[in-house]
Amino acid sequence: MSALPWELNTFEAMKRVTHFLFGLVLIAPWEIWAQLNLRVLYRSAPITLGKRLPFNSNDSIQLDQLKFYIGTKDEKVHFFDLEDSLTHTLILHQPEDSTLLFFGMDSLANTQGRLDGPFDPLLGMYWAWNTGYIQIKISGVLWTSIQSFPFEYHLGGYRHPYITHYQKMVSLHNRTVHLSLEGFLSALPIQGQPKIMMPGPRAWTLYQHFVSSFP
Amino acid sequence: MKYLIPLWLLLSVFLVSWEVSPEDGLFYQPDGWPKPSYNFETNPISHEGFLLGKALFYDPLLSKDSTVSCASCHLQYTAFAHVDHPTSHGVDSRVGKRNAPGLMNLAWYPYFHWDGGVLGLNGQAINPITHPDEMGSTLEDVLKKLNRNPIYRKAFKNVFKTDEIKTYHLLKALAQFTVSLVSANSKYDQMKRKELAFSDQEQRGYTLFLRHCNQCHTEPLFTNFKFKSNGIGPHPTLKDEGRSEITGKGKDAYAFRVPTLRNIEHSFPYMHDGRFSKLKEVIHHYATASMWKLPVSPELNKKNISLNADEEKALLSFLKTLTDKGFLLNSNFGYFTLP
Repeated sequence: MSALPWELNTFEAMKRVTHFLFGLVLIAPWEIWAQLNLRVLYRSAPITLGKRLPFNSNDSIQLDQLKFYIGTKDEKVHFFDLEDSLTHTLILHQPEDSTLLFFGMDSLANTQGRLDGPFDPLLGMYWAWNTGYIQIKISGVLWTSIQSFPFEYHLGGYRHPYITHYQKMVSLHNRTVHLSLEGFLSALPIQGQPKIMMPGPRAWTLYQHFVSSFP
Repeated sequence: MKYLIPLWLLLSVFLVSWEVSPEDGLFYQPDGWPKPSYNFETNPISHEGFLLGKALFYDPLLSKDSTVSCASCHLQYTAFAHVDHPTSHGVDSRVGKRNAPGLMNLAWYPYFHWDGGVLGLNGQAINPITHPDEMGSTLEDVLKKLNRNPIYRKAFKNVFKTDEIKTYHLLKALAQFTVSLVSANSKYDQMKRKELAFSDQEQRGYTLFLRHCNQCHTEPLFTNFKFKSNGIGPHPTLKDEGRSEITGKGKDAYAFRVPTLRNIEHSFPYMHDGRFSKLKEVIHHYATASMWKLPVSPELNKKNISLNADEEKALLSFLKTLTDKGFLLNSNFGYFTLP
C-alpha cells in the first residue's frame, strides 16, 4: 500500500516532488503545443456577440449567434461556438506556419448517426427533418438608416453538387488562426434573403465565402 | 464424452431458436429476407435496452406538457399507425400535415418519413419529440426530465453504463424498441413457408398484385423504398410537395415514399395525407386511371392498371392476407412502464 505523504522520509518525499516537477516539464508544453486557437475577428478586433458594430458605410450589424464545424488533421470534426470559449481551441500536434484545416464534414460524418460529442443534436446543429448537420449557423440583426433586418442562415449540405465540405491550408500566427468575418458578412444577402435554412446553391455559395474568410 | 457433442448441438439449437424467437419481442431476421439496413453495431440490442425503449415509447414525458407519447400516434393494434384522423394531432391539439405511418420492419428502411428526409433510425425520434405539431418539446427539456427521474436514471445506467443520460442514450434506447418491431408472420408469410394455402380468391388477388403492384410494393417488405407520385395530386389545403422538399428538385414534386403494405388492413387511413379511409378506395384509385392527377410516376403510366369489380375484390382479399395478428397483439410490444 502506498504511504501517505506525511509518512514519507525526506529522501522519498524529495524524490516524489522531483518526479512530479519532471512530469510537469514534460507534459505542460505538450499540452500547450497540442492546441490550435481560433479567433474570430471583425475589422481586426475580436468580435463579441450582441454588440452593435459598424457595417458598410452607414449601417451597423450585430451577431447573436455564430457556430460552425471546423477540423484539423488531429481532430477532424470540431464544434466551434463563439459564445463558448471552451470550444475555441482545437487539437493540433506539430503545427508549423500553416496547417490544413477541414471545413464542414463529409457525407459519412453527416449520416453515420453517431449523435454524441460534436454530433450531439443538443448543440443545435442537427437537421432532424433532413438528416445531416448544419455546417455554419449565423444569426443577428442588420440596421440600415431606414429599418432593421433580422437574419438567420443555416448553411450546410452533403449531396452532390452542393457539398459544404472543404479543406484548405491556412496561415498560423503563434498557434492561432484568425477568421476575419468582414467578407463573409458582406456576402450575406441580408436585405434580399434574410433566411436560408436548407442546402442548395445559395447555401453552397455562401459557405464558400465563409471558407474564404480564413487566411 | 459421446454425450457431449449431441448435448452441445442441442444446446446450440436451443440458443439459436431462443435468439430468433419472434415472441420475445427482440429483433429477429426472418428467413429469406434481405440484410437489414440498420447497423446493429452502432446500437447492440439488449433485453434491458428494448424494455427501456418501450417504456420511453409509451411515456408522455417526452412531450412538452407530458400529454403525448409516441404511442399516441403509433398504436400497436393499428400496426403502430394512427387511425382516428387523416393526419395526426399532437400537443395543444395541433394538427400536423402528414398521416402517421405504421411502424414495422424498420430495420430494413434506408430512410424514414414520407419524404425520406431522415436517414437513420437512431436519429429519427428527434423529429416527433421536437416538432411543434407533435410532441413540441426540446431535447434539453426531455433530458432534464429523464435525469431527474430515478427510475429512468437507474434503467439508463443499467443499459448504457452512464450516470448522465445524454441525447444518444435516449435515441438509441428508443431505437432498440422500434427496430425490434418485426412483422413477418401474416397469412402471406405462412403461405410462403408452405404452412397453409391461399383461398382461390386470395390466390387470384396475389396474381393481380404481382402483375400490377409488386414493382413498387415489392415482396417481402412490400415496398421498394423509392419515391413515387401516385396520381392522387396535391392536397387541396395542405402545402406538401413531398420528396422535392428534401432534394430541392422539381422532378421530385409530389413524390412520397412507397409505404409497406404489411398490415395495411389495420393501418388506415391511407396515403401520406390520409385522404382515403378505406382500402377499397385505394384500390379503386389505382384501378381507375381517369382519376389520376399529374404528376404520375412512370410505373403507373406504363401499367395502366384496369381492374373490374371482381378483380378489385380479389386484390383486397390478398391484401388482407398481409395482416399479422401475432404482431398486432404481441404483448411484448404493448404498453409498458418501468417497475
